[in-house]
Amino acid sequence: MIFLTLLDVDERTSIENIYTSHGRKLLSIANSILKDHHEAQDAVQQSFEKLVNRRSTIDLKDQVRAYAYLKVIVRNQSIDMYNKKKRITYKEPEYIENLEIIDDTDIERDLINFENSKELALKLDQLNPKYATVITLKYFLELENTEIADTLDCSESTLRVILHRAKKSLKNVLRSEVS
Amino acid sequence: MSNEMNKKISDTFLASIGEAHLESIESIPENMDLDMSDLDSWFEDFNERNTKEQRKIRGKRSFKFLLRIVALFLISIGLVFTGLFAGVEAFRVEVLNFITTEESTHTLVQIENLSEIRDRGVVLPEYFPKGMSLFSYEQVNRIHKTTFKDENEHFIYLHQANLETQIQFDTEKAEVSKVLVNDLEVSYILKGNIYTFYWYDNFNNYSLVSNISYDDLIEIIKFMK
Repeated sequence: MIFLTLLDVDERTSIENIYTSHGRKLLSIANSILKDHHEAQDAVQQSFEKLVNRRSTIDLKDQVRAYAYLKVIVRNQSIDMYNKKKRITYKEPEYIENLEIIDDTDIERDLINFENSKELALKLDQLNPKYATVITLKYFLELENTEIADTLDCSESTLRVILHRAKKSLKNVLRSEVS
Repeated sequence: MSNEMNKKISDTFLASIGEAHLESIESIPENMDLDMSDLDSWFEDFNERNTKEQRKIRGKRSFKFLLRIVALFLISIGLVFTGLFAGVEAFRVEVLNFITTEESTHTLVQIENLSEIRDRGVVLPEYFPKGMSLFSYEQVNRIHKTTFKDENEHFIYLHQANLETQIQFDTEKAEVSKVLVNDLEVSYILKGNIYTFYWYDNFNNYSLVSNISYDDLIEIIKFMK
C-alpha cells in the first residue's frame, strides 16, 4: 500500500482529472519499457506517489505541468525498474568519452545551426535516459537541483555530475552533427 | 555575446530539448489492451483514504471547536458566579469554603468582618455553624462582648476578659461538668437548653453562652484562635 500525504479537495480533484485523462497513457509509457503489466502499474503508482509527495514543487492544480512531470518520472521510474531487473548500468559510449573538444566554442554557436531539438533529445536519451530526464526537469519544468535530486532519489552532487555529463554529451553530439 | 545572453540562449535551447523529450514520451501510443482494473482500484483506495483523512481532520476540527465552546461556557459560568457573589473574598467564603470544609459532623462557615474585632485582641472562633452571622460587638471596660445569631433564634454570646476580672455564673438547678478541648480544661453548665462554657489561658478568661447543640459548641471552641 502506498502512503499518500493528505490532499485538499482541489488537489484531489486535480489528481483525479489527471488520472482519468492520462492514466492509460502513463501505464502505456511504463509498459512500453517494462513489458510487464504489473510492474508498469507499480511504476505508475510510485510516480503518482512522488507527484503527491512533491506537490510543494509541482502545483497539482496546474494539470499540464503536473502531467508533464508525471510523464518524465513514470518513464524514469520504469527505466530504473527495468535496469534493476536486468542489472544494466549505463556507460558513456567511447566516442563521447574520448571525443576531444578542439576549440572552446560555446554550445550556443552550434545550436544556432541545429534546429531539430527533437532529434537531439532522442540522441541524448539514447546515450543515457537520465540525461534527457534531468535536462527536462531542470530546464523545461524549471525545478531546483534539490527538487530534482529528491525526485530521482539521488544526492545533489550526483545530480550535478549527471547534469554536467548531460551537457557535455549534448555538446559532443552537437559537434559531431555539425561537423 | 555577453555571458548572461549566452546563458539565456543555452537555457532556452536546453528547455527545447526537454520539451522535445516530453513530446517523444507523449508520442508513445496508448495501449488500449492494457488492463486498468488494478490501477483503478488502487486509485479508488487512494481517493477513499484521502476522503477518510479529510473527514478525520474535519471531525478533529469540529471537536476542537466544541471544546472551545464548552470552555467559553464554563468561563462564562465562572464569571457569572464571581459577579453574583460580589468579590473574590465573598466567593471564596461562600463557595470554596463550602466545598473544602465539608466535614462529617459539621458544616462550618467562616464569618466575614471579624478582622476588626480580632485586631482589638479578641479571640474569636474561625468557624461557626452555617447561618450564623455577627450580630453585635461591644467593649465594656475590659470585657469584650461579641454576639452571633442566626435566623432560627440561635445565639452565641462570647465574653472575653482579662484574668483579673471576676465572672459569676448561675449554677442553680444546673448540670456542671468539664471537658478537654485542645488540651484546655473547659467547664460547662447546662441549664435548660442553654450551655455556658468557660475557660481561661495565660492571658484571658473566656465564656461562651449559647442555645445551639453541645457538639457544635465544642467545634466552635476548638477553632477559637
